[in-house]
Amino acid sequence: MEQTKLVLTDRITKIYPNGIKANENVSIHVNRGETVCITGPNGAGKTTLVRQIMGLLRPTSGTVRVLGHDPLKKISLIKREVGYVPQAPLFFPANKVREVVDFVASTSKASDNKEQLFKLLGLESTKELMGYQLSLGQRKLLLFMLALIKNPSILVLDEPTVLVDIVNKHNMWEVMVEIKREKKGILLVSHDIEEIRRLCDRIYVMVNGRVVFEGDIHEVSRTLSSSAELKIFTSEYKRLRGLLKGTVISEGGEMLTLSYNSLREALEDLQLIASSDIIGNARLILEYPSIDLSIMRLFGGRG
Amino acid sequence: MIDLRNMLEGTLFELKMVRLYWPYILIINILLPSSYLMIVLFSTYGSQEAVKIALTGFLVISSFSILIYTIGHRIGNLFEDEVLELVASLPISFQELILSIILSYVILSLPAVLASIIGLIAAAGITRPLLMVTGLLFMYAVSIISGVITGLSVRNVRKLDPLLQVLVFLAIIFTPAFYEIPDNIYVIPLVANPLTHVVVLLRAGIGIASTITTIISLTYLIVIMSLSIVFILHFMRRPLFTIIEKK
Repeated sequence: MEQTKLVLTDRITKIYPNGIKANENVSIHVNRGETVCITGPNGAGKTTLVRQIMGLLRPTSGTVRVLGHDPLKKISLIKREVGYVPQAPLFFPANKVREVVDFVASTSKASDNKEQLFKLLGLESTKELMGYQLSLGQRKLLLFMLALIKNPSILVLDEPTVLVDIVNKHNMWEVMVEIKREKKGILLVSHDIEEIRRLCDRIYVMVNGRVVFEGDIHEVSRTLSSSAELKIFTSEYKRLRGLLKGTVISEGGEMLTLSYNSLREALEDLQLIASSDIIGNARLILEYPSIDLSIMRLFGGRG
Repeated sequence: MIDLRNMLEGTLFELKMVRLYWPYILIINILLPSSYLMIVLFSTYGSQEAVKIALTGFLVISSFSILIYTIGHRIGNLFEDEVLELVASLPISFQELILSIILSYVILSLPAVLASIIGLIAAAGITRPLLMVTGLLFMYAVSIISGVITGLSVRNVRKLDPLLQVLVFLAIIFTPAFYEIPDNIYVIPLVANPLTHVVVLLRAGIGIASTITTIISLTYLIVIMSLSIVFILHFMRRPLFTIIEKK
């Protein structure tokens, strides 16, 4: 029978021998054809969760199922069926890129897309380079390519686009969208709001080892009073500074970022700016609903 | 299930990886054993009997030290957090990978072992080839299994490094490699050491009789190796390949 829930964790908790609780009662799932994101501040327990899912770390309590199996007991199945990109830009220092790709292709079930992936991910020129000669971004791209070559049922990606240049980042996003179309699942850990916005169907926000929010990506903002954010780019913003109603998130140089609890408040400030003489020199970005702001609030941060 | 093709691909991959460390491999597999062999041969002062004993001893000790060290160290290396995570991204299973590591280092140990065998044939001649071959097979089995058990049990390269060197040191002391089996209380630790029985079989192969009979040595090696393999298989069934949580 085809497994609908590709990944399922049920109240998993991890307590390290030194007593540090990395995560607590974390329950998440990834359905077939779905891209699920996990975000949260550093040290929130995201990588611990990914490692538990990959069978690399034993949960202290709770259960993990990947394709219906316990990853600790079926590690070979997980290695075959899950495409994994670890958080760190790990690499094979003493093997050429071509050798690593050929090795993964020859030991996995599908291999006919490697030339296409070399081209798509901009790794063609690195084929004859040894692992230690790759840049950090190229190492992440290679890890992503290796995960894809396996033709996996699910991708578990721990900050895959970190360190990657903007062109290849967009290429990676395209590939992820394509994978979703193939009715495979993606579990994506990310801090990149643009990435989350573009790719994710659902989001889990983790803070201090717990899931503090779960839901549709737009639900994040709705849940948090429909936050809005206004960015004003001009050195003349100081002239209006005292008149604007928004809460200052950041200011400096030629940029002022303001947050609002509702769209109405943001529009009132916009009108004020529009009627002022700085409008001719300014660039404005109004984001509503503001996912950045909402997530920052969930993190317990500013805004 | 072990996929033979994956294992062979893994072996090729491992051998290609070793390429970058060729000076280290050359030193550990060729230079060190060769210099050691020279010392051993010089110390025989040309005595035919002493040369035979020295060559069989050298064969066992050099292959044991090369294989236990490289295999044990490499398996221990698999449990480093970053290596484990990287290997987790590969489709090859951990079992296949370990077999690939074994096969790679067996291949790399061959020059030193073959040179010793050729030297042995030239110096002594082989009178009982079947016992010689059996002895060589057990020599590899004992060395490989010792490396695998040590690597899987310790799972920490920083602890493994000194431990493997101590094990090699103990093997030199407690194997009648460069001396004959004594006829006193000291024989007890020697009899318990599987390498002693490997030496007995190899020496029987070139016509040197020992105080321990070949039947006893064969039986002991079969029992010890079978128990070790059962232990490894049982050990490997546990969820072993997880990040070691340091206290």
